Parts: sequence; C-alpha cells; structure tokens
Amino acid sequence: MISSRYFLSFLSLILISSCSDPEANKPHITTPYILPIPQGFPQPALPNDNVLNVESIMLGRLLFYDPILSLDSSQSCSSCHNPSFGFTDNGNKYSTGVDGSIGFRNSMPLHNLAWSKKFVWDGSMPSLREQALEPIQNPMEMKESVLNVVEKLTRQPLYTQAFNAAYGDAEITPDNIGLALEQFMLIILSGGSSKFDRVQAGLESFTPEEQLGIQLFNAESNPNGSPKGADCFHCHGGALFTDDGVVNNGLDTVFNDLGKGAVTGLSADNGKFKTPSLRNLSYTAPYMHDGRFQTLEEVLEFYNSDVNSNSPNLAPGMSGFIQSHSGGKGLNLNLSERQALIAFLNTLTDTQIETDTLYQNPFQ
Amino acid sequence: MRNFKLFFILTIVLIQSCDPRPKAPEKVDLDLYFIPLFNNSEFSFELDSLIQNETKDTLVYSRADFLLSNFQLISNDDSVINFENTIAFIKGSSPDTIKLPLTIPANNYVELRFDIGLDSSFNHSDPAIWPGDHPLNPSLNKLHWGWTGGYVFTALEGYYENKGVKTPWLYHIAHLENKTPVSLQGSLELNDFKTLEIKWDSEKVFSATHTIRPALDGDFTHSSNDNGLANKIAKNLSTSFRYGDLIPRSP
Repeated sequence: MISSRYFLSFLSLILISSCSDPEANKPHITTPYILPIPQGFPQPALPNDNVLNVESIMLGRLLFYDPILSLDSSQSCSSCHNPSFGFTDNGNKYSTGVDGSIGFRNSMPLHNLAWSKKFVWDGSMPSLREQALEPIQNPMEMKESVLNVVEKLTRQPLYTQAFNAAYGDAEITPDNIGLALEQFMLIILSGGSSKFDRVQAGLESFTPEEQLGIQLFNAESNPNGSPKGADCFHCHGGALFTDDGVVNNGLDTVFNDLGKGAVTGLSADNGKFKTPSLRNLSYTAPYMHDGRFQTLEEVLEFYNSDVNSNSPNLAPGMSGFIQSHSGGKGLNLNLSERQALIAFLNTLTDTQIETDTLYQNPFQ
Repeated sequence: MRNFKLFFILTIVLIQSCDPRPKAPEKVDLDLYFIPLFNNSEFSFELDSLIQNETKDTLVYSRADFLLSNFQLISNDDSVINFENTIAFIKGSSPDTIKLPLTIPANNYVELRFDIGLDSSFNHSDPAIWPGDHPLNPSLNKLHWGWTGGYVFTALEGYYENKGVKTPWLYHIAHLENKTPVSLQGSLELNDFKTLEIKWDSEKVFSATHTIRPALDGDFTHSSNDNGLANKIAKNLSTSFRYGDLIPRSP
C-alpha cells in the first residue's frame, strides 16, 4: 500500500514537470563580444553586470540611431553624436533640442568610453547606462519620458524581437534600454589606426615637425627654461590621451557655467570640467566644454598666453603653465612650436570611427 | 548498559562539537587600511584648509596617491616574510583596504616594511598588460607617465595660500632614485586575522627631514630639474607613515 502511494506521488511529480513550459528553464544565450583593445591601450574595467554581447550591442545601436526616443520622433542620439564628426554635433557649438531649445555645453565625443568612470562634461554621471537615459528626458534635448519610450518601442515588432534576443524577454524596460545603449557606446573605439598608432607600432614615421610636436607634448613646461615643453601629457597622457579627470584648466576667472560645482554645490568644484580625450581632435571642433574655440590654433593660443592663473580652483596640474618664466599666463611657445604641436595632434586622427560599419546607422 | 554507553559517547561528541572556544588559526592573513591625517586629525580633500604647525602655511590637499611595493613582515626571530610582486595603489581621498595576498604563520611580528615606488621591472613594464582592477593599470591609478614609460610613485597635489591667493601646488615623485623605503616598527601580534591601520601624517610632506615651503622652495615638481625638491619630499615621506590600530576581523 505504501509503495503504491509513493509510486503515485512520483508519477504526479513527473507529470507536473513535463507539463511545465520547457522554455522557462532554458538559459538565455547571447553571443559574447570581445572588445578589440587597440595596441598600447590599458585593459578596461568593463561592467561585470552588463557583459558585452552581440545582441545587446545591436539593440543599443538601433536605439542610438532611432529618433523614436525623442518626443516628436525628430531626434536620435546620433543627431548630436554623429560618427562623421567623431560622434559630436556636426561642428555646432551647442546642440538644439526637439523644440528648438539651445543647450549650453558642447556635445562630447563618444569614443573610448570603456576606459572612463565618469561621464558628461561635469563628470556627474557614474555609468553610461544612467547617462544614456538623461538626454532622452532632458527638456532641452529629446524631451521625452522613458515610460513613453517603452510604450512606443513595445508597439514595434523590431524592438520586441531585439529585446528578446538581447535579454530573453520581450518586455521592454527603462533599465534594459540604458544597458543596451551602454553596450553600444562601450564598443566605440578610437585607436590603432591613426598615424600616431602606426608610428607606435613601427609601421610609419613622424615628420620632423610631428616629432618636435610629440617632444613638446611630452615635456614639462620647465620653469628653468630648458628643455622647453608644452606639458600636455600631464592631463592628456597615455594611450587614451586623457586622465579622465574633472578639473579647471584656467579658462575663466568668473564662471558662467559652474561645471562640477553646479552638481556638488561645492565652491571648490566650481569651473571643473572633464578632461577630454585628444584622439580625433580634427573631427571634434569646436573645443572646450562651451565650444568657445573653433580651431586648434585658438586652443593653443589660450594655453600659450591666456591661462588665467588666478582662476579659482585652477588644476594643480596647470602649475607648469603659470610659472613666472611665462609671465604667469601660459607656455610661451613660439609659432613653429605651436604648429608642431598641432601637426602632432593631427596624427591622432582616426578615420575608422567614420567608416567602421559596426558604428554606423543601421537604418541606412 | 549498552544503550547507556552509546548515549554517553554521543553526549561527549555533541559537547565537543558545541565547544564555543574557536581554535587559534595556525595561518592568518593581514589587511592594511590607510588613514590620511593632518596634525593627527582626519581631513577632507579639496575642502579643508590645513595649517602647517611649523611654518604656519595654509594648505589644502586635493590629491595624495601612492604606489607601494615590496611589503615585508619581520618576525621577532628576524625571519622575513616577503610579499613578492605585491603592489598596492592608495588613493588618499578614498582609500580602500589593501589585502596582502599571502597566508602567513600566526606569530608575533616586530616590523612592517614597504617601498613607496616600484622596482625597475614594474616601473618600466608594459602598462597595457595589467587587468582593469590591477594597481598598475593606468586607467585605475592615473599614475603612468605615458608611453615614455614609468610611473609616478607619489602624486601630491593641492593649493596653498600665497600672499592671500589660493595657488596650486603639485609634487609628483617619480624615478628609481626616489623610491623610498618605509619601516614601521613595533609589536604586531598576528595570532588571528586582523586589519592594520596605517596612518599617514600628511603634514610631514612639508616638515620632517626637510622643511618645504611651497612659496619659497617650489610649488611644482615632476621630479626633474627641480633643484632636488622631489628628493627632499621623498625623504620626508619616508617618516610619514606609522601604525594605527590592529583590529581583529573575520577571515
């Protein structure tokens, strides 16, 4: 009698198990994507909770280029981050939102973000997934609610399929939108194919002018005068050409935009902005957080003779620029030295960002 | 009678398994925790104006980052435990616990040694090889000079009041000649898993073996063409660390 009861129970369990949805227990499998780290770059600390995979990257790419994210479907992320301009805003000083509002900061390039730990000009965004949702909701930019975006995407079979492929669930959530956009932005690279990289790999040589430029770039602004240097490496050193810092580089003595200080409320943070990468500079004009300089010549003229030594919170790394030998205003380089620096900076131009199909608009 | 014997044995076993007294471990490990101080008080980077006692200079620290290596523990019988290939990156404004990656015999130790800076092999290693969370990854420590090679061993930055004007100072200590040994002496009873606080007296950068006044002695060095300023600061740093508390913790 007992054994019959056990047998019946066992049979019931098997029947119940066989009636359950076989898909429910199936693990969701995605295709791993290995980031091709350019030679000489440090290893990035990629997010462990958003491991790169082809399906999520492709979803992120769709979202990045789709104007469906904006209030009136007139703007996508790529409207202000165009790969033909190094993922910046088409040479514009400021970006224009869906209702014609003009922003107050220059659009930042989006390459090599896998090595960054703080995002946007004031460094206030700790992750790309959070940053990605901000312009969607910003009333001066895409002016849309994330919940509306979810609703609009849910009506599109393209997206239910793409979210299903990426996350194993057709339900679209704001979190998954952020994660997919993060994946796409993490894979945008600038490095490996510029003249600078080819010289580093021994495949090409600098011209004498470029060689002088790199020497100046890597040499300190020596108060004793010799050897002369431009001290650029201090904040823009390494293969990434940025220290990922948030600093005041002495543009102003009175700040129209407080930068990091507007976020933290601390006067010690006023005037501090993120150090941008110098890779692909030839694509990303105008320059500085407010796009005040149209050309590299203007940028160098500032560092050469117009640094505000009495700017509050001036970065200690700028000390070399305000030594007494230069009258406390800059590097005091002559014209040919400034031209050599620009020649070197132009070796950081990387056409791959404009041509790599992985980065381009999937709707075209 | 047989049942009684069985009951007795079981009771003994149960009592022994319930013995609340933990056995002292034969092997332990040690964590280090870095505490920056100025005149024996903790301070906020970027924010706190600090008065240097000897010179009365007003200072602000905005950065104090270190690369430490060659950790050693000396026991009271003079035997040495080398934590080979151990590098630690200390970010003064947000220090994290350093785990010394070696299980060591429980013992009474009398000295902890380490170097501020790196041996040549690490200093001139390819910065691209280090994983994202490794102390020598340039994206993590922000202390690599760039492709010219080598690391900054100590990056000290901040502001000082110069004739009423908030003026930046920057001391970047690099190059092998400025690698600085540190010796902390005193009893360390490592009979269990513990965390050792390492206190860093940041005022000693400006006043120890040498007195450094940014306005007079220089407010800027990258460790070259500086009339020996970096070397003086490195010497001051050698005496700027000391033991804090030794705190028990779980393994």
